[in-house]
Amino acid sequence: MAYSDKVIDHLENPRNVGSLDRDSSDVGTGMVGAPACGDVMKLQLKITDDGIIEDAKFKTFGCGSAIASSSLITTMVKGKSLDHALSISNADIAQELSLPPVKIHCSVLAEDAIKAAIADYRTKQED
Amino acid sequence: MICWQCHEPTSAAVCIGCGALQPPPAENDPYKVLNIPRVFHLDVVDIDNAWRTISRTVHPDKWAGEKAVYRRMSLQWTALANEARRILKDPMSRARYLSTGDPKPPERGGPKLDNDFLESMFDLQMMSANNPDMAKEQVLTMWDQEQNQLNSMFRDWEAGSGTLDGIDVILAKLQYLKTARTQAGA
Repeated sequence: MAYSDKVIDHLENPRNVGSLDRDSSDVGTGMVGAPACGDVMKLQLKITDDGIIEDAKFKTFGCGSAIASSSLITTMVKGKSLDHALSISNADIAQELSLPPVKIHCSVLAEDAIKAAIADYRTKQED
Repeated sequence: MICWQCHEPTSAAVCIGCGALQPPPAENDPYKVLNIPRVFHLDVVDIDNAWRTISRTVHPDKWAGEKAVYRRMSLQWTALANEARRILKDPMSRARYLSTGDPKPPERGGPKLDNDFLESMFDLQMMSANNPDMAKEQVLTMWDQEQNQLNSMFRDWEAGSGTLDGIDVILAKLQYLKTARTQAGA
């Protein structure tokens, strides 16, 4: 089964690879994984006081679809509000990348990672 | 169990009294199918022996000349016995069966693993590229650690002094490490 052009584009030119300081109070880190396929995804968001996502970085170990899903989602949330980021669903990612049904779980992972990163940021803000 | 043919009590796949093949167990329980005590710590040889014993009794060749109902049961028994042997011989699927009733790993979801563990999966990945020997050693150490935890958890459980709470985390970690082992060639 071939990857779609968009997946290949994200694989050849992954956007926003890297990491942010996970101990910083304005950085939320989402770390999620899928034991069945061994994928691990780390997504980090740097968030301004007004709740805008200033920067997003990812590191993913997994298949092409998982890498493309995380790369895409960083571009979708950068410059956006937290509420907007939370409204992104895996279906949006799957559709944009034309993921086949067997790869839908990769987009779920990306959605989970964003939610985990925001939850982590909010916990930090409460402390 | 009552023999469906002679209505006398029977406990084997084939009725001791009238020799009729019995319907396979309704619930797909690999332990019942192979007639093995319901424990985690099993010897591979014992599993194979149990499988051989039951296979000999229910083998389709043995029932080839019999009525259709026997031939059908014999096929069902054989399929169940092969499946049961496969499930029980793999410690991870055996552990999953005992704790959840399902030998297969969940296709998605699963327990939340701690960040340190997931981070170490990244590290292993980097290490596999830069220092394969070290990666191999590391993944095997981690594998043994989780395996030991699994063993001791089941030891307590079998002794009636512990629960299987948290076993999903150990199994999920082992699942990751299995992939990592393949990657590292360990």
